[in-house]
Amino acid sequence: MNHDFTCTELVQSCLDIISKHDKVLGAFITVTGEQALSEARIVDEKIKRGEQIGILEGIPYSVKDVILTEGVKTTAGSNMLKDFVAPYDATVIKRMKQAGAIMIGKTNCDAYGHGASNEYSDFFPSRNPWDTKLVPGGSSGGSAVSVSADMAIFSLGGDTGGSIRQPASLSGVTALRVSYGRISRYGGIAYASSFDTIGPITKSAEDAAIVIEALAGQDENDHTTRPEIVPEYSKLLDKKETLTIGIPKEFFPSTLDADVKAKVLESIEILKKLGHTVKEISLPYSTDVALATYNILTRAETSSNLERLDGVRYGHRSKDANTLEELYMNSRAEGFGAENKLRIMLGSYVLSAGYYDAYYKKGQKVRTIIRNDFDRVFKEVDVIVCPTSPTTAFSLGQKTGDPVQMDLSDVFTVSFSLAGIPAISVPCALSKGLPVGMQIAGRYFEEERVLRLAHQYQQASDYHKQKPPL
Amino acid sequence: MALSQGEVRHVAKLAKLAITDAEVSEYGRKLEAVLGYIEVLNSIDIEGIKPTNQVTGLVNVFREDEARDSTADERARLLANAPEIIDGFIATPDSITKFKQ
Repeated sequence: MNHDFTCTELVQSCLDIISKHDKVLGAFITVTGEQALSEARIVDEKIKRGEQIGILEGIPYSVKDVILTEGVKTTAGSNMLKDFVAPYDATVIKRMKQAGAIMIGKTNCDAYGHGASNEYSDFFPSRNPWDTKLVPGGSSGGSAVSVSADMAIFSLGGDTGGSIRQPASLSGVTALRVSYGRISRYGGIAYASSFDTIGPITKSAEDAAIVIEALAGQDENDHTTRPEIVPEYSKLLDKKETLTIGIPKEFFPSTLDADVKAKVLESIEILKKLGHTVKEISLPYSTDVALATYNILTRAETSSNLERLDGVRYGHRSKDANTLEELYMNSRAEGFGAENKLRIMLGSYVLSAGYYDAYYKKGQKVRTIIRNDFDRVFKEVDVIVCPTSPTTAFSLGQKTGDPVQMDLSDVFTVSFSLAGIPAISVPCALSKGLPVGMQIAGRYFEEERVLRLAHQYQQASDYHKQKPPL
Repeated sequence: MALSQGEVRHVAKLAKLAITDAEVSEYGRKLEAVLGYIEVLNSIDIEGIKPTNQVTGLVNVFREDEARDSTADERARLLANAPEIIDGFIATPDSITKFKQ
């Protein structure tokens, strides 16, 4: 250990940046400064006594406000839960506590993960540190901002259809969507249960490897976690292997922003120079068909998950209710935002009698077609590389009136969610001064390989080291 | 894919969401827009394809059915978020005598 600075100094520097910039950036809903400083003092005392500390011990991190943190307000970005204090810790939080990491606060997000810009937080929008007239992306926008602006060393976000990758791409940081079932979802407020993942937003692939090493593994509280042992991801990043990289032609359409396209293709040249083989592949169902499929299935799942918010046991209860029915209908109408209501209604529609087969069941079958398509390409290639987002950061207010335009932000991320496979976004360029993200996806439970390629790329480039002009 | 006002109100009722007249038009418009782009699935042939429910491949993950008592502290934390408590119970409007309304 170099002793260049103390843990207290590190935590204090994060808190100072938050004080200075968060009124504009809107990354945090709750800052747990006092608690963080008292934990930092304990770590500094341990270091003074000459005791060994763990790799994550004393490291300040932020947490997306959909993850339950005992004793700390957890709102999901929603008025419905604006005063809700979590009664227990999510498994990921328990594991972070075991590793000694220090939580600096809860980050702003589109309510329940419903969004791609962080403008659908019921409290305030977050702003991109690279240009505060622009969105940071969503729904883990606050988390991405906190890492981009050095308010935290890493963050725990959530990715259902792109909510960890897309804001990382727009805000110039690294983020990993793990394989579904790699990390426990227990204590995460659910959006779509067959798609939701919790994962790290970090400054580098190496940091992401360190974080998931501490988070991954079976959890008895989440029966959708797989029993596979957790590799020492952080120690496997330099292993030499030559990969065949697939570039899906449908992810580079003529409608893709020309400069984003050029920059991502340039980054792929770097991967070639590292010794890997690149070949064109086709994934014909993985863009607009995937988006439509994803839309039906996630709206159906979220309409079911959000039934628990009924004004009875927790959350907002309407004062305007004389019957139980009115209690449900008014509490929900008052507590949910417009985008939440739209998604709940869409979900109810596709699950309703007369429409279930045409929409929901069909969606589940197309999901199988998409998964089979990935199985097919993974016989020829080891990883898939493509842009994370079709554009760089867009303006606040630009897409909020148009649900179709907003959904299109996720056109390159949703297919990997449908298949349940791991995918990382890494900064790969600046286009007109704004970050561009490159996505690397791998086979199910091959995050080791995805992290390794991302790490190799980051040793041959330095876009991930660039900082916003704050 | 056009939605009638009646269909929008029906969906809101299924979702247990109170909705104003102005909102019926607003949500109707947005629902139609989204249902519009979902039409791309009409051309996909799903003959003989099994639906995907989940991607982990796990089946029947069981644990022992063991009950345990909650601690007073756990009870307190769980009830702390309830909107109204009477004698340690969560209170709601009377749903029995007002059932027929």
